[in-house]
Amino acid sequence: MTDMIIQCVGAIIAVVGFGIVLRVPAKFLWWAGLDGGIGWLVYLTANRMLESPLLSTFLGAMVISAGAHLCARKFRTPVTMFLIPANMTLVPGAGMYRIVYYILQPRNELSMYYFQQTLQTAGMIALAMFVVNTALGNFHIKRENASKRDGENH
Amino acid sequence: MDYKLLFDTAVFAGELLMKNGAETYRVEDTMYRILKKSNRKTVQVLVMMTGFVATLDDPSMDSLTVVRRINSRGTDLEMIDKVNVISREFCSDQISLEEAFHRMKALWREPHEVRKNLTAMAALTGGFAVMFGGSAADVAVAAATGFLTAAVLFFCRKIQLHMFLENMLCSVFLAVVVGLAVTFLPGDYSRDLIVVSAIMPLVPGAAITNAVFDTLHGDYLSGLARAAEAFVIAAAVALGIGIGMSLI
Repeated sequence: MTDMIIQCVGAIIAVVGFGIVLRVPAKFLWWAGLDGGIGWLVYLTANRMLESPLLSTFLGAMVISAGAHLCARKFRTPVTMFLIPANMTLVPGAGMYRIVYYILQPRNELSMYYFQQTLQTAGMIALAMFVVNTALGNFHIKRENASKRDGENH
Repeated sequence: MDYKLLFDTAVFAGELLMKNGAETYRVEDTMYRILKKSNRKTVQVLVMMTGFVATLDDPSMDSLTVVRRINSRGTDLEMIDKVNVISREFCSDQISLEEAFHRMKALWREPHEVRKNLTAMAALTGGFAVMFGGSAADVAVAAATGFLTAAVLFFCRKIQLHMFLENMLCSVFLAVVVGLAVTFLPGDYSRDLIVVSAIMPLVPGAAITNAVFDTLHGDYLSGLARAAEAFVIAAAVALGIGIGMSLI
């Protein structure tokens, strides 16, 4: 339990560092960090209980997306402000490294396995973002505009 | 209302948003809202990842059209937030068109300095090492590697190296540094963990997130373009790590 909390603190520091590098305004930094930290906590807990990294990534990404949306609504700012740094905790950087590592070994079957897993992880993050975005419904504005634009042409 | 000025404001806003890594949908929406303030009959904005076209037309006037090609793209979320604030205040009539234009132009002129966030990079890689459950020694090496990689990264940005070469050189460098540290420093290290933490700043996370957003909003062209960008960056980093690891 303690090591999980330490890891989450690490996640918060990492996300805040990323936020500074991407020049997130100072007032949003710690919110993004908190979002990433909670997401990583969910991932770790889910991974321990379900023992499925892919499903845990999905759940973690859902929590991160939902948190980013809530923060974006609260501060009236683009959702990417929180989502890009916080998502970095789940983005499959390790998979990228292992693909190359096992090509160099050379153990192609393991490399292919990690290639597949990396793509699947990225896909899971994308699916979670899809689910949360559509569920929280940010799209009425766009549709309205689109129909207005269509109407003008006819 | 001065349509030329309104149009310039919208173009500045679009250019700023695109150069600093906003989603295609946000660029389109912001420009559309600003242009719609003119109450003209036809407002059309088409944004793709590499440029945009905007048109304003009405029976009472000549049509205005602008095409802009965007060559350089980075990520500067603070700029997106600022443009967002100006456009929101303008669209809710809190500020005049002139003020919106001048503030937008000031933002546009703002020098795009290369920020030397070396300590932030060190905190980033160190934080990731903690996050992946590394020991204190792993965290220290990861943070030091992040610091040095950041120096190389900012140097590459300064001499305006191509994105591919920049990412590759940085990953070669970090793989060599980690290899040397693990081999020659006393103590037990987990090389995998340190390398994985250290490559995090180079992983195309922003491109992946934006690719998903664009696809989600139906901007399939931009979504695919950004996914391709993510693949190119990932390939550069992977190649660099491969070269670096076979050197040591």
